Amino acid sequence: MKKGGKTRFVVKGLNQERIINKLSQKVNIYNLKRSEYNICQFETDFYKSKTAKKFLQENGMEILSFHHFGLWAKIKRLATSYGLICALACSSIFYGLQYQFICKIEVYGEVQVEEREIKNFLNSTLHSRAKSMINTKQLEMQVKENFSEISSISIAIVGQTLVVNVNEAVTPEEMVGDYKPIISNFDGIITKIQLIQGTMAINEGDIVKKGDILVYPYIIDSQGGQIDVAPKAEIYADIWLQERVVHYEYQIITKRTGEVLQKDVVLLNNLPIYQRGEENAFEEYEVEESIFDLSKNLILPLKLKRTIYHQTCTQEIIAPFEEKKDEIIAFAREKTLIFVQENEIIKEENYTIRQMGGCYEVCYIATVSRNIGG
Amino acid sequence: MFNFFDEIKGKSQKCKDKIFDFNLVNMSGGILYVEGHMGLTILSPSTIAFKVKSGRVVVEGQCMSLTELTSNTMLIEGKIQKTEIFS
Repeated sequence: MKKGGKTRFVVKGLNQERIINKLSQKVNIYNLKRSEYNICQFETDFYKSKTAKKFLQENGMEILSFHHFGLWAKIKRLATSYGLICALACSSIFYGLQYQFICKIEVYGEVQVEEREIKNFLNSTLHSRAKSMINTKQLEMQVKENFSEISSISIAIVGQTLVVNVNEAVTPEEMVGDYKPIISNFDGIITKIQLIQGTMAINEGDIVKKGDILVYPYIIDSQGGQIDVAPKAEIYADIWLQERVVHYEYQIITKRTGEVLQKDVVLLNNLPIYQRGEENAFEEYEVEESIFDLSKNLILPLKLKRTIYHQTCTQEIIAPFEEKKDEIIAFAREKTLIFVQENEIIKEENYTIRQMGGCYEVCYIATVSRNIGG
Repeated sequence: MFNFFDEIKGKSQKCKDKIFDFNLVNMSGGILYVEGHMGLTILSPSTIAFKVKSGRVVVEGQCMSLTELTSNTMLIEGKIQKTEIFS
């Protein structure tokens, strides 16, 4: 019964029982209460409220108030809200009208041209914002003609947005200027040259150092004019890879023994208030000191100063060169061969030993053939 | 009339000649369901009276109200203290 909604009446009049009896023959009455001797309140079904109202008026009852409630009552209230219906109708019409026009232009794609430029161009080109008046194919052609940096473009109308997708034109390398010459990264002797593009600065058999120019980034045409090009060449050279190892016959080395002593001091405003740890008893030692903040705020500026003593010992090492010679040469060779690339053939290996006072310098040289061009 | 009441009346042996044309169902003194009434005569929070075919019925109590009233049935809620049948 409650699903349809109800109407509550408050009526005033005499002989209410007789009227209510007659009314109950036509409509169902609910929650009938009498608040005063001539005022009573009751509810009827929403769809019978008109019948009840008419009956009460015909029978001389004064209707003090009547109030609809329930789902159907709300629906009816909405349906008879003419203002609301007009507003809905107007807004629908307005929405339908404005939907026929484009509101904004969006540009997607990475190009050198600024998005703003394309938008400004389209805004100036478009005669009308009405969707039916826009020819997307024509617009695409116009944009492509106007912007040489764009290789392809597509324009589509999506909703109320003009969506523009652009792709950048890729310029070949030959058309881009500012070339740099090929420079040697190694010392060596040029063994073979195969020039592809550019002007050679060296010949076969020349000795080059690191930093020397090998190929210039230009060519001379038949009229004697200079044209900039990207230099390319295959240049093979015997390069020298060298590494040095120095050996001292007499050395004094300080080593850590592994014994450690730690001392902590708590500081408040750089004044020591507490300390912990034994006193340093090492004869020879190294010190590491560090300071940490114990508190995160400055209300109590507590800091911890940690001092670590590493015991050390000094050793004298006497190593005659002749006893260690093979070892040192092998080490120098190992260091040199690190720089040899995979599948590279070592043409020659040799070493030199130089004596300077109490030390010996072993210089190991490996000669490999490598392409040093670009 | 509902079959439920007919069935009960059919089983009655002592009161067959005294079966009235109305039915009263009192549930725990809080709800009184009436079938077969012939109209309200008194309506107040303490007294509700209505006519039946063979007389009148007076219901006395406190805070009483008519939850439902149709042409034939009635539902009274409240603190029902006394129900009298006058024939």
